[in-house]
Amino acid sequence: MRIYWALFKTELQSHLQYRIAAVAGAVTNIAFGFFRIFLLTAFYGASQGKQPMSLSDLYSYVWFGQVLFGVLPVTGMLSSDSEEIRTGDVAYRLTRPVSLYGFYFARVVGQKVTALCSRSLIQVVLLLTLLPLLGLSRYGMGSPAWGFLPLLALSLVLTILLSAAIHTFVYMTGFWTVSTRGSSSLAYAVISLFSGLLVPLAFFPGGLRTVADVLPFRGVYDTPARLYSGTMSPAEALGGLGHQALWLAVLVALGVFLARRGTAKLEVAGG
Amino acid sequence: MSCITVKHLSKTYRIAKRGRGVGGALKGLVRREKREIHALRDLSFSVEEGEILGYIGPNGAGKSTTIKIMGGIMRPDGGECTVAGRIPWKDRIAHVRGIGVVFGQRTQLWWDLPAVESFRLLKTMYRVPEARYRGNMEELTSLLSLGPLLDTPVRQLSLGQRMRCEIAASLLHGPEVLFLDEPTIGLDANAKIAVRGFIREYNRKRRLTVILTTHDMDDIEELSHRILVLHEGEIIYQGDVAGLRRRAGESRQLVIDTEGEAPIDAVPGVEAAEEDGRVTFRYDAARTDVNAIISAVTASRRIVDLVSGSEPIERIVARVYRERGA
Repeated sequence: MRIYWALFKTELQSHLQYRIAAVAGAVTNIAFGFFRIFLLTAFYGASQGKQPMSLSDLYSYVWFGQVLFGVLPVTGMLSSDSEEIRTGDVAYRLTRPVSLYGFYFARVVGQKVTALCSRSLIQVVLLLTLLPLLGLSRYGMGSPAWGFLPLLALSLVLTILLSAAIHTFVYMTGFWTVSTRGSSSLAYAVISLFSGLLVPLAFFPGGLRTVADVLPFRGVYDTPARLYSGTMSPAEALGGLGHQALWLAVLVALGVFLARRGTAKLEVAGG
Repeated sequence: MSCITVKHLSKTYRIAKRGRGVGGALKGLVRREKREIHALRDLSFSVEEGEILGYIGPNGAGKSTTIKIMGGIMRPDGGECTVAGRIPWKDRIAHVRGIGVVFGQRTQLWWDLPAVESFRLLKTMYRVPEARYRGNMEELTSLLSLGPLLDTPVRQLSLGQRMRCEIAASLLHGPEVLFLDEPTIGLDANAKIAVRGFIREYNRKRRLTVILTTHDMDDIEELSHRILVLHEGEIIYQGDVAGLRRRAGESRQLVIDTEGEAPIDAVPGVEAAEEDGRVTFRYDAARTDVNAIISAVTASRRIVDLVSGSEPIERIVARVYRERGA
């Protein structure tokens, strides 16, 4: 375990250096946040029916996703790590007395935590200072539902781990597809839709909503976002955490399995 | 005592064959034809403890495949292999604890961090006790003059500096065997000399077994106790450098700088090439008398200067490859 902790720390150290990139990422995410918010506000204005979410909850939901963007399994999917199987650098990894899956998983967790400590933090500061200055406070992020805070903290930890598990799973497909570009784009599309990033899951029609509820992807965004705004019953909250934990276990197991099969195949096919 | 034994090792790759052009690519979507490539055929050799083995051969000869098998990365199709008493592919993690690997064309250091951070991480990975880590680190720092490099981010190091760090990284845990895959590739003359000097010294001090793959014949001549020449998955020469020279015949090279334009009469059995008045003759000293060449030159031109010597080892090796390839 110490090994993976050390790997995580090294990755954290190595990525925290990119200050400008963090600021640029934060600014981009805020710009897209406004885009999403104006779009959804217009949609609310054009519709007569009762909406599943109040406007202020909706803004919190959107901003939560933007703040967390660097942590989601849609960011950094095409990093140099993902190409290591194609370039053959994976050979070096295999000369280490460490599980291959654990190696990449620890690294991705390091990258995700870096994003949380830099990009997300900068965004929160910008949102809290910039919006009131620009007179845009009414579009801002509401305060969290304090009662859910401990659950939210736990859920965020699971979000990071689940996100890393999805990432690493995609990396491992490289053993079969050589380049992970295809699987990354596919993952990007599926995750954007089923995590709630494109349209909040609350707006999904019945059947599609059930699919989204079962799939793992709501665990990286919808669950913690709703815990933040408090639009969940305590039972739903616990169910959400259970869903995150269960999928984490399943995806890690699958990833480890792929890594095993992949290295065995690599032994057969050559690198 | 043998440190590495390889017996009847074989490895075949199946590679998808593709037709040419768009038509071929379309056909490949439906039906994939597989082509077999025999990377290793019945390969057997052994390496003694403390020996530096120069492992050479043209690209695609099977060198990397052998290294990957010995390094526990790949499983052979058939044959046996033990490295320091272990079968590499049986338990990869236990095996790699006892070996060091440097791939000259890749990096194992964290690009954005000072080298010392990578070293610390490797220390944790290999569970090297603090005291031993300090001792090894001190020795490697002095032998490789790493002092001023340790705190510089790796991306700011020159290739030569980086390679010295890479080599240190592969030895921190005190492996029994070191695999060096083209450790001097791309380095300038001084950096090459530094790397070679270190390998020689460390091998002598620690009795470390080294497998050295390279295309640089100076690496081979200066470092290896024994060489193994591989061609299409088979060993075509095994022995010392002097033996390879003997096998290539009493092959000599005579370079003469001449004055004049007149053609020089050909001498039977002698290969000659001219460039700007400098004529290079290659001949077999057992069959041709050097006087015959000099007479032929002086008959039409004046000699300004001449140098004679053995044919460079890379030419000999190239010829051995060619003879086998033909």
